[in-house]
Amino acid sequence: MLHLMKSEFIKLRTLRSTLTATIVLVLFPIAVTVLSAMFAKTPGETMVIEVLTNTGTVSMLLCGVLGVFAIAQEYSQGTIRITFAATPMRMKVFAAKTIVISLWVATSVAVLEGVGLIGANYALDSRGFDFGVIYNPSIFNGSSRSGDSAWQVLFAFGAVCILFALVGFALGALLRSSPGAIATLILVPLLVEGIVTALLIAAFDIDISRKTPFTAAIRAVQVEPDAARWGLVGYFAIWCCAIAVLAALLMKRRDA
Amino acid sequence: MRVIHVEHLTKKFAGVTAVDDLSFTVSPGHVTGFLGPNGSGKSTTMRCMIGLDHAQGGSATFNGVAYSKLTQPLHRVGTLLDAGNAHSGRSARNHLMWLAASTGISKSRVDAVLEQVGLSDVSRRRVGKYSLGMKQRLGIASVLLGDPEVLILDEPVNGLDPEGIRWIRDLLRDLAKEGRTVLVSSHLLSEMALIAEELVVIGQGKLITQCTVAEFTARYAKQWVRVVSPQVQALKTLAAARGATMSEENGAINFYGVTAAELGELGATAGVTFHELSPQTGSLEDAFLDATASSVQYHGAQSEGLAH
Ligand SMILES: Nc1ncnc2c1ncn2[C@@H]1O[C@H](COP(=O)(O)OP(=O)(O)OP(=O)(O)O)[C@@H](O)[C@H]1O
Ligand SMILES: [Mg+2]
Repeated sequence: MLHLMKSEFIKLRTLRSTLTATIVLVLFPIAVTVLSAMFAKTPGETMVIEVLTNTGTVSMLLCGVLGVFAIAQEYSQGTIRITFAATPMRMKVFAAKTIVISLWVATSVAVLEGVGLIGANYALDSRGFDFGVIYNPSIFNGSSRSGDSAWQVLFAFGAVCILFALVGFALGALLRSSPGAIATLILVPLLVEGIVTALLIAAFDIDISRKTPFTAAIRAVQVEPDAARWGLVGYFAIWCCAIAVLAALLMKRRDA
Repeated sequence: MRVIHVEHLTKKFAGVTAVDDLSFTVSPGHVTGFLGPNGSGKSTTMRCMIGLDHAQGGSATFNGVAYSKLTQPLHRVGTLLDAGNAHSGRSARNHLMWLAASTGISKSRVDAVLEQVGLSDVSRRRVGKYSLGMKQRLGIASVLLGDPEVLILDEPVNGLDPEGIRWIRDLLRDLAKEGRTVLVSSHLLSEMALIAEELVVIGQGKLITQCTVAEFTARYAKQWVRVVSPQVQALKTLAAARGATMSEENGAINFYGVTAAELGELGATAGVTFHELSPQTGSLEDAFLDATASSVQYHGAQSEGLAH
């Protein structure tokens, strides 16, 4: 298994597309967060975390794109046949890929959050504001109504990013095409869930707005979520796992 | 013994039977050519053999073990299905690096095979920039990586120049001589005749014959007799009475269905003078086309061939 994980790590490390996606997903929220810490009129802990996780929506989607790349490019470039010939137990490949992509995303998010907060802290310090999160992330200086600490938000954000990567990977394995999987991954959260919700309300008076999975993921990383934070993460996780199980079964059964 | 047994292999795609109850054996020590026209099921057979495609019936085993049950298959069976199966954005070296890592093969082995196939100088260039011949060499490198005792290659000489073809031929022959089992597919018999000693010939997913290249030519190649003679008209009448057929070609007459000896004797009894009387054998390509023209035709031809 360690051999396989090393192999999958080399695959990620040696492609420009995955490196570019990773750099963008890390740098974009950092840049926006530090800039807003430098120029916001009334900066504070809550604002910094909010900016970080809101711009982090882009990072979440990019994590999904990374997941797609990790498998769909193997199909489009034909390397999946070499991969499966070298390791006929496809579930081992599936496991190695999900582990490596999760670790990759977890590391990226840790850098994103760490550098973003340190950068924001530095910017606020130089403007004379005292920024508490870095020194004591367990509190929001009482500014959080939900009582959640900054840690909760930061960890939930990391978890959601990993889940996005997982669901991207599963969609890539199901559709075997990067464009198809990426389109699904971006259109469903940003468009399809909203449209379906609106249609169902209009036509049948059924409200599923609190049950749509991707929206739940985005709600889960708000500083003030409208439901239990980890409940939302868990709900999204169940969906991701269901899609991943389907992808795994089909990967095993289909011709490569 | 490193024998490949394919037994009653059957693979259907929605409506199409690509491989139809196919059985054959590949033995070590010599190169075996896997021959069939386009679409006859060679690639599908190979994919089924290594478990990439799931066959509906039958089996393929390596020393009695199915590919999916092999531990560290890279060390046992090296396969080259398509030279294009490499990410165009990765360098050749990195391509081999991930493959090697998956089985714990060392970096130095990667460099060694790159050296062996002559890609060392360009190993850090992106595969997308490679010519087809270079990609084939990279494919060969990936086959050699685990130093396997069985090699399966799908049309490896595709896109190679004559020098490259000779290189592959010598390489495969040397590997076979070391006691390895080598199965190489092609749709060109002339190409295969240069590389292989043994042939497995298929058409429409069915086995046509398994024999040596020489046997194949003897069995399927068209034979006729070329005659140049001033009294050819008399000879034609006599031969026609014996059931022979004829065609004219550049002032010579080709006789089918009679041997040169028979024609000579007929000519002697009728006082015919011969300027030329020579037995001819059709090209390998024609023999192959005849053999694979249709599986029905071919079953007939095969039983006939066996009866003789
Ligand atoms: N994935 C697939 N889905 C549907 N049909 C397929 C698939 N793969 C192969 N076939 C069909 O199976 C038959 C055999 O194809 P295959 O590629 O194995 O032939 P081949 O002998 O390798 O031909 P070539 O010399 O052109 O490489 C063809 O009719 C082809 O259309
Ligand atoms: Mg083929």
